[in-house]
Amino acid sequence: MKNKVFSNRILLKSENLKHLFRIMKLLNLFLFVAIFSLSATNTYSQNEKVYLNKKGVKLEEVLSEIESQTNYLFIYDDQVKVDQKVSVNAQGEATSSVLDYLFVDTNIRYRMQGTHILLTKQDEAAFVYSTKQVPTRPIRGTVIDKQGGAIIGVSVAIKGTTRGVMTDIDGKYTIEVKESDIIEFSYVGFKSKEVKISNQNTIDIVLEENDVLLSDVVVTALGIKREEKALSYNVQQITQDELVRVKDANFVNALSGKVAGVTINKSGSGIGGASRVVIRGAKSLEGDNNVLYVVDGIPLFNTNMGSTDSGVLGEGRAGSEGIADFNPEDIESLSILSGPSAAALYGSNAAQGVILITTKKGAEGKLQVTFSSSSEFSQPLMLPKFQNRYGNRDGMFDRWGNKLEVPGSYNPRDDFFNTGTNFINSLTLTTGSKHNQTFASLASTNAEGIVPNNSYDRLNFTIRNSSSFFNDKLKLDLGASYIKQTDRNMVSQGLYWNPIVSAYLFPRGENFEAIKTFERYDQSRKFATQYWPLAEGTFGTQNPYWTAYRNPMETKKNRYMFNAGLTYEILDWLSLAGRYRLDHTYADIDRKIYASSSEKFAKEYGNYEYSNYKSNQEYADFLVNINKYISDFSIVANLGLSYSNHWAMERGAKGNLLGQTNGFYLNNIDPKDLSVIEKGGDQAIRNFALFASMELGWRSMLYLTLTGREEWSSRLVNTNEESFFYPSVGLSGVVSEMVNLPSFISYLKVRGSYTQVGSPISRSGFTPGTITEKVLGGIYYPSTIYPFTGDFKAERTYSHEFGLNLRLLKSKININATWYKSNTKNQTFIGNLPESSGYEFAYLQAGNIENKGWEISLGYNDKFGDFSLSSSLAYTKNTNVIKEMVKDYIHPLSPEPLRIDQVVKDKGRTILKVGGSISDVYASQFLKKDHQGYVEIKEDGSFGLETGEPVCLGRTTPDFTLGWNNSFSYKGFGLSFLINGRFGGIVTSSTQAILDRFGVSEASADARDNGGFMIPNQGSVDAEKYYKIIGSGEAGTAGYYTYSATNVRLQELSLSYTFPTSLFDNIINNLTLSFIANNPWMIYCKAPHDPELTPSTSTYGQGNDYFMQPSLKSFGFGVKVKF
Amino acid sequence: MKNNYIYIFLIGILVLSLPACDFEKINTNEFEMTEEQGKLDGFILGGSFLAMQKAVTIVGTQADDKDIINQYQISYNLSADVWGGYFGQNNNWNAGNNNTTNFLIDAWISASYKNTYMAAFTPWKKIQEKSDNIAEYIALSQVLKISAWSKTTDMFGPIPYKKAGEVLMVVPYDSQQDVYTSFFEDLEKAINVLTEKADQGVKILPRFDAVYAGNTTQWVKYANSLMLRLAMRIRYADPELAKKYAEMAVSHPIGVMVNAADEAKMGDGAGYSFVNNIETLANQYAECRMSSSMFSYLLGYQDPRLSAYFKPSENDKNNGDKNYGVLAFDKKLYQGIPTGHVDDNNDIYKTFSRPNIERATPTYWMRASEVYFLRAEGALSGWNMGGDVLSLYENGISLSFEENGIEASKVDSYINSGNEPINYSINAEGYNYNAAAPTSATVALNGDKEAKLEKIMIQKWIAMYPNGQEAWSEWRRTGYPKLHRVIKDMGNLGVNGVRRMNYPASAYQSAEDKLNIQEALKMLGGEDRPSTKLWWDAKK
Repeated sequence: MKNKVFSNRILLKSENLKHLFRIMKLLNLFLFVAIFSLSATNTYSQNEKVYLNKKGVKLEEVLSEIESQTNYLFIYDDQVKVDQKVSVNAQGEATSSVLDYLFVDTNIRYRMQGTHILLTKQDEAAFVYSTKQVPTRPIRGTVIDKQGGAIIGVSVAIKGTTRGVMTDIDGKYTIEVKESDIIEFSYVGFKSKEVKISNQNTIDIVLEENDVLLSDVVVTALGIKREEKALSYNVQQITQDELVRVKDANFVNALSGKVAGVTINKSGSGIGGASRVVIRGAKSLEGDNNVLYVVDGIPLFNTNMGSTDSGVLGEGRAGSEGIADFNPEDIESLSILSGPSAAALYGSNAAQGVILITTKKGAEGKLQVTFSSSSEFSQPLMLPKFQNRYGNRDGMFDRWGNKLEVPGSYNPRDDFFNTGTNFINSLTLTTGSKHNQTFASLASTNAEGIVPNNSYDRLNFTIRNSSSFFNDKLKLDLGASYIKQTDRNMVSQGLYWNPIVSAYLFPRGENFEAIKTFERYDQSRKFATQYWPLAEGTFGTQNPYWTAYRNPMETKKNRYMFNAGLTYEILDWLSLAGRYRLDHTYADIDRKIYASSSEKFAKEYGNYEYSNYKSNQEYADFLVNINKYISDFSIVANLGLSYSNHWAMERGAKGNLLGQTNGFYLNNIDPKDLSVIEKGGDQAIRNFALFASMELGWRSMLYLTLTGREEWSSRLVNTNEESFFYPSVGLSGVVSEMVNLPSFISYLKVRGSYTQVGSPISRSGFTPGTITEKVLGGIYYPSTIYPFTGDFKAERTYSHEFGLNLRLLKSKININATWYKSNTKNQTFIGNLPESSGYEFAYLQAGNIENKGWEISLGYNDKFGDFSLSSSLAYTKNTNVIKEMVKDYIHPLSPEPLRIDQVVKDKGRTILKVGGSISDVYASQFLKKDHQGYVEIKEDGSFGLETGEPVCLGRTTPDFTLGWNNSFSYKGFGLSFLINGRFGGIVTSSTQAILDRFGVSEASADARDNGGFMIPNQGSVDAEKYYKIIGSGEAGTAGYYTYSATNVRLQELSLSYTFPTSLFDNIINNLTLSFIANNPWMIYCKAPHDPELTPSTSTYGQGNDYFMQPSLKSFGFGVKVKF
Repeated sequence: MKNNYIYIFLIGILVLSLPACDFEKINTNEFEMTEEQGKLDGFILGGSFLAMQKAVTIVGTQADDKDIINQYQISYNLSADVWGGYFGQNNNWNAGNNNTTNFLIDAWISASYKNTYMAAFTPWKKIQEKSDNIAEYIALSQVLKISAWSKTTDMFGPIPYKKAGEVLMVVPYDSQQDVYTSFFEDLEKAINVLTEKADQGVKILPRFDAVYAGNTTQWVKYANSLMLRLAMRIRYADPELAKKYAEMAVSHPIGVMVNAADEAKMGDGAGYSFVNNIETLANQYAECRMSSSMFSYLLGYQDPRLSAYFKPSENDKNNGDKNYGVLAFDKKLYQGIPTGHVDDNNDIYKTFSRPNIERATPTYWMRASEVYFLRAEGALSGWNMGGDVLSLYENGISLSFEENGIEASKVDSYINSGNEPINYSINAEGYNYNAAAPTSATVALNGDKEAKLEKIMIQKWIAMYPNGQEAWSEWRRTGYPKLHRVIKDMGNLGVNGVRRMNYPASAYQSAEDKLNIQEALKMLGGEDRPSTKLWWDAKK
């Protein structure tokens, strides 16, 4: 009765009256019939519509709900059992249909008279209302999507009635039908289908997705599709369309701005470089904090061959990363689990969030072939501002010269950088019968960077077969991929090996054309030697073309992946599954330095470095899956075991050549100059885990999820905590099903979860019994690390999140908001010990890093005739705070409890201390000040630097980011664009500092034009002196080169047209042409370089530009054809 | 039927858990050595001695690639080797704000601390743990430790010494006076043990001794010479103690180094070939060149060691093959780099005289010629040094000639030439600098006591090349040889130059560290600045 009182429907004006009637009814039912039957009219047709969605409620409640929505009044006596439980789902059905459905299996009959509905027990002759009793029979079947995945919760209804059922977790259903009924299959996000009953007993249905996919079903942990409403944590799903619309050689970059909570920094090493992906902030002080990638439910060690960073000197070697090898055309969908909730299923690495990749499978049906091709042409998006008015002193690289009579015309953009190209072609094929489906794809990526002789090439070949046996009870899924990838001269930053250094610093009074012939035949040496009349010492500059062509660095990688999965369904609610995956990479890496290179890099006859890299990862798991409905409850449980094993190593040699000039083979290396490369002995990790997860649902509106994982990691062997357990608990409730909400709210879910994740330290070999010491060249290097004691434990992240998912106006508007907070404790610190202890470092475990923030996405989808639009905003805000450092830590070295207030990282650029963040950047060198705080300028006009207390310049992470993704379509035309904004944070630029110092920047020319550099409130000082002091490019003076990192850009733009199928006699199903632009327009940016570029995927060393390759803007065309 | 599933499940668990047993093996770095493996042939113990030898002045083999070389550069070459007057640098790190212009860079001085103190300390501790208290092992490890740590205290002043090695997180510092006193006591003890073993003909771990191949007698000579060197260092601070230990060293039955063959060096030894760090700095990095002071002295004296120490300057191929060198007595052109300049790294300076050091050139800890000059100085103070000032001085010069392969016949004319150091000047493509000759002292040992001291110090300085650490210490102690001052004094240190290194920032990390360093500064007796004089820097 309650709902009557509080209901606000206008139609309920006669509310109290109705109530009165009911009381009176008890007095004399028959009298009422007599009176009111006279006034019956046709005004209240039997088709007055009702909206109901009730499960397992009392009939009485349904009746009063109908009353509240209509003008009808139910009249019944005590014999009618209104307290029996019923379920009904009607969306605008006629009241009569609803009643037919409600009473079909009961002894209640109804009769409509005007606004009154009389209910009677069947045996009361006076009120008999007999439904036509037609015999029914059951129909069974399965509903799947085009990729063969079961769809859960599909409404299977008899058309024209409200009778219906829903599919279960395997997409199965059973429904009672009458002859000539029509069954209607409908599901949000899919096109509805109708099937007329003839004489079949099973009806299997494949539903096709709608153009606009609503995230009703998402792929979650272990590759299982779950109803979105059951999830207690934030999951965002991205379709393949979003990944391939504007392609990038590393598809990960295409996620940027499209999902909330994810921060993606593109590599400074150009095409195909490793991207830094951090979700919900950096949590671990010693880990790299990058996201975990999971492919078809199997975690992937994202190998990057030791380094993604070429270092400030260029001492390292930047490379691509494992995930970049994937062909985006093989990906069906991608889910982002931004919280650590999946950790129970994936283990420690999932503490940083998970990107779940579901790859395509074959589908039943005739052979379908898709070919797509895209060609992109790129140029630098933004470069530092250079000058051409002032030259160098004649013949000297580094000395500032006079104003040129004729300004030079050299501009690296036009004179040095090439137009980069990126051609991606892919062919996919899918075919299959009912029991056996195959998917195959072939793709090539051929890219040339804007820097001469920089290239990235990749060939992907994938094949996948899914088959089923024994009445579909046994399913076998086999997949194999081969990837061949070659990259040349991937340099992410640094002084050496980096041709852009001398291209930027090229003295403006000199002739750049002349050095384009970078080598000239040397009559006496009988080969062409470097032509570089402008040598300079500090930066080891060489002719930039010589660096590009005669110091080449190449990686040739071969990667094989194989996976197999077997599922056996024992009962319709119980299945067993086992999976195995093998991923093996082999790479040849070399660097050839030709004779006549700078003596910094090679002696007289050249230098050669070769190594081979091998990595292996294996994963296996075994799962028991339970899906069961017991009256009002549903249980989805997984119980599993997993095993993973990973190792990677690199071995080789390097040295200066002796004997044959430019003979690049190991036997030609001077044996006295040969050194060995042997890395990766500390990389191996083996992991074994037992895990369980259980989702308990109640009436499809309330879900409780519990997970737990017990993990044994090789990295904790022989400690007091060899295995560790971590649990999670989550609750999700669909409010819109529990209470009546205003009609404009189509869906409202609230959710909350609490998760713990443990993760062992990031390197092996620190626990008792496994400690090793270095031997190099046969010489013993005693370890300077204080050996571990037994109380070593896993790091722990404690996190909780709350969120809501809201859909408004028939799901046209989607809102998904999450607030989260995580605290990572028991951090592993590498503490510096005082040298007087005899050790350099000790590993300590203490501290607390807190990340909290918001992830909000807002979507709008609508259709106006042929025009449809979709727009979404993704908002990400994370705040990282160090809450605690080492405090009261008991260490065997110290009689007193230990305290470490601050830890210096990245050579002093980052200082970790309480109240700061993991990405704070400091500077410590400033112009020397006098007592009044002015720059101290001596009588001779000179001034200098002093080292002071480090000053925090800011943090390299944004305050918040905002991505705005839009797509419009009209009859085959499609337009989409993505605007990405990052707000807050800083970057520093060593590049700008060094350009100033060499007098090639616009700023340095301006200062000269103005007669010197103006020190605020003090007048001007000699520009050359000024820039030569502050323009060191070192972290200490970064205070003079700090910029706001706020930037807004048009990140993607695509315009496409899909030709009508009829145009090609239905042979070509789908021909789409598109114009695409990737990163075409920086709308707002005050930094001299793209602040979103990164030289490295590691936690430290972010936010500084040390001659990174500029980011690219590219334009191109795409073609997609389906046969 | 149902039981089968349970079996499958159990077998699954079994199969998956089998590989888990290997955890210890998986977690062990197969490219490194476990403690058990290190016991074979006594490698950890012996290797620790070799590791200590490598740490006296850090050196590495080819296998170390550039790592040790780079550490040497920032620990010694950009500080002591420059402040001691041997080298100039063709680079202006940190836009000219660096050690070479008296602006001390924290990362560099922290490397100096680490590479003198830590590098010897870790293996020293291993030896204490693994040597089963075998007396000669402990004794030799003390000699090696003092060899390294004397550099640390000479760089910084107070260091943790007496309590170092105890299980403590914060180890108290000892004053330099206490450190030196302990050095002498520990050295004396060690020498007594080693002398006894030498008399018994015991060889100490020859397989791991790159310096003397296990020859204990030679170790005693070295230890005595080290005692003499350290005693001389404190001559102005504590003359009596200095005299006591100097005389003890010289009068020891085995005595100090007297022949070129006695010298202590790291080159080829114990089967290893140690690489000279300076070669790479000079030839690959093009950063280490003759200093202007060396130029003035060697060219001025027409010192026959000139060509042994430096190579002629090269032609500047970018500027019409010009050579900016000055014609020396040997008819070759030489040029040095101006001291403490802030000019950009350039190809002009690059052409100046490189050190004549090859990859295989040994790294000397102490040459026998140095010992003669130490004795000459002692004799000049009236100590009993087993000879008179003049003969010790001249023996020093002739031994240095011998050490550098110069005919003995040239010694007399060198001593008696009457030549003086010359002025330094360059005029090269806009780099114009002049510096007057630092002194007018000649080679012949005449003049008053102070003049003689200067000459002894000058000759010792030339003979010790390129041991910059010792040169810088002795320059601070005596003020000799007089060296060119920096052109740009970015650290504002004035005429006195760099008297010490300030403690690295890492010494100030925790509150406990800060308290500890406060105590150290009290012992230092001044601010933690490079201008503060050390205890032994006490010449009036």
